[in-house]
Amino acid sequence: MKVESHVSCQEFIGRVTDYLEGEVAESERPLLEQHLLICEGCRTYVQGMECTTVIARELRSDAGQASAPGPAAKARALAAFRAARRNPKGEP
Amino acid sequence: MALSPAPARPPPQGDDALLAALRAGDEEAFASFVDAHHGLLVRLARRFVPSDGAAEDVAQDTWAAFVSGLDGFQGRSSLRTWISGIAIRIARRRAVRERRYEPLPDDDPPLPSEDAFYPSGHRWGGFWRVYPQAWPVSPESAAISGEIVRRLEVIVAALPLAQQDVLILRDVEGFRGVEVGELLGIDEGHVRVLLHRARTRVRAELQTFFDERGRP
Repeated sequence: MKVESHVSCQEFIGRVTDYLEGEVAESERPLLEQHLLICEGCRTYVQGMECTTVIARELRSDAGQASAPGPAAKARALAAFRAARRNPKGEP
Repeated sequence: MALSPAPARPPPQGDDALLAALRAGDEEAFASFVDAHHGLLVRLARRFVPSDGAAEDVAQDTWAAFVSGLDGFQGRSSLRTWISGIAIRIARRRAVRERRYEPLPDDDPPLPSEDAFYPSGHRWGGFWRVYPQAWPVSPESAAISGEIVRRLEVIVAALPLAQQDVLILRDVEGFRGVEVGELLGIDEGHVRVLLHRARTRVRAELQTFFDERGRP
């Protein structure tokens, strides 16, 4: 029987999203962390993955500025709110 | 002396306080909620319907469904997740092309490619042949240029649709993995597989971008 005492870079990279999402088993986590400590290549790779998510967040702020509600859209939403609050019995 | 306008009352903090205010008919609280979330609804809808106008219509219908459902809301998710789910359901009903989240095909080539690593059997089997190049930006650096963000937009737009949806909900809009699954009607494990493929592809494309940009 093969006892897993270490993971390779290829195995680590295959698990990197679960690792970053905090979704690896407690029994597996030390193996992955140990690998990351000794492997500069995988540390660089993880940093790229983290950068990717940071840059992705920038897309949200870009899009948000373009899509604030216009006055007509806001007025219609408010009218729906008033009507519903006068008769608060609806179902979703 | 000019009179300054009365400072706006801060919106209720937290979902419980906000929900109580909305149920009590607090129009200011509702208006703030619309300001904060209308853009999100339009962005989510636009992923499924073919025009900006149709996405605005979906957002309006979402507000109508939201206000009429307030009293029945059970609080099993956050208000933000709940209203996002309403928008996605309405948008999908209207979608010209329904997105289906089929089990993933096995023929998607893995990234990084197998030859990035020494082959199994080699004494360094499974380890990098050449380490990945460090990037000129770090997760902590605030200065991410518009050029990089534009590039990312292009890269994301080229991903398979299911991967795009997951990446956008998780990494752009910031929903948790379990919420992304609820919003798209897929299980959390499938969300992570799609997210892994999407992030891996995006990382590789950005790496290429930085490598090319770094050349003289």
